[in-house]
Amino acid sequence: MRRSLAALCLILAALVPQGVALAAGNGDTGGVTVTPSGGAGVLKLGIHEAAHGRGGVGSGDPTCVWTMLSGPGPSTTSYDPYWDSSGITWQYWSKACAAGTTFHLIPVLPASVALREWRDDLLKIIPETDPVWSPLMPTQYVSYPTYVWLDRAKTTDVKLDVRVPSANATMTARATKVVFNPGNAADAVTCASIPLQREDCSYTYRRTSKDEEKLRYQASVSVTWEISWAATTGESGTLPSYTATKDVPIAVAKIQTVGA
Amino acid sequence: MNRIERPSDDGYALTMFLVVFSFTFMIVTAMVVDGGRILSARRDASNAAFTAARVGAQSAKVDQVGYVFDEAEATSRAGLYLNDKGFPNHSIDVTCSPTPKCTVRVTINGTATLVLMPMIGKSSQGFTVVGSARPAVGITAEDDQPK
Repeated sequence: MRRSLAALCLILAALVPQGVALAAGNGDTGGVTVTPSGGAGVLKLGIHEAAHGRGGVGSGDPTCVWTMLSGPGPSTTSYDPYWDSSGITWQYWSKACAAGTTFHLIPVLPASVALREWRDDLLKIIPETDPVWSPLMPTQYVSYPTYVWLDRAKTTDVKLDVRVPSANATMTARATKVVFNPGNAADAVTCASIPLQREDCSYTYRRTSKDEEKLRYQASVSVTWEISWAATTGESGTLPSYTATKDVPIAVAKIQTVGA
Repeated sequence: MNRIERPSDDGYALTMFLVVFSFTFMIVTAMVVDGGRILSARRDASNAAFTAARVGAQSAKVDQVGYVFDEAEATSRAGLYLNDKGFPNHSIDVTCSPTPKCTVRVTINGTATLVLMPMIGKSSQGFTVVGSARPAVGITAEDDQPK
């Protein structure tokens, strides 16, 4: 339950950066109510009971009025903010409708936290870095270029669409940089662009891997994904990039000519 | 009375000695000079054969998959080298067993031109030399790279 709530909050956080409300707090039939807080970047998100399953009356009723409760509540209910184990603050809100009043726990998430959670969800669907090599692994050869590139299907933009009744939002991860670290103390090779074919990115070893552990260089290929988000409301932003690294042990042999 | 003087026996002996010595000297000189030319020609041909074999063996290359050996190119490169060095009478064999473990074997049939031996009717001496080479692939030793 907490997870689904957080996901919805993420959406809302994207839709309402810097604490600016997109929807009115009262009588919103969209299923999501956003109440701006006083501090920048802090959102108080009121979630319709139909969206998260709490409560049971007044769903979609435009006459409903949301009110944040404070102080001691009726009978055994405390209206003090509640912090769960993940550090998310929950507040009690009342929803007064024609059919009656219901009470709801509303998560209070800073926008940065919400976006981070959303970003984490996006990272889970970014494809694993799986470079293609020429010559084929595990052996490369001194003085011959080692080519590395990526499958086109694994470098296309990764999108995470989040839909709420009132708006849609999309978080996009775009592969922008590929770096090959040959593992031999030489400078890493930053490919000129995303390598999609054999000739796009290469490195030429000058020494064999005879001095390396298990006779292999501990090379790696890193793909940097730039992450951005955009809502159908026109709002957008960027988040910290993500670098996916694939470690690749490479044996480098030498071709010589000897008398037979 | 005039007396006709006959050569002494020592004079005949000296003449014969000079004749035999000169002939022997010429024979030895011819053997040394022309023998040296033969050895030199064989050495040059042998060096060329071995170098040509190495040139051919360097046709080992790396393609999209990995290490391969181009037999046709090996033959071509070795042949070009030999022709360039003045050994047109040659043969080149490339044996791959198993592929790509190949050996390039170059055979040169050469002729050394003699300068003194023609006096005894031999103006040239033929010879045959062989050179062979192969590519070796490895990290610390041949064939120790992972498959």
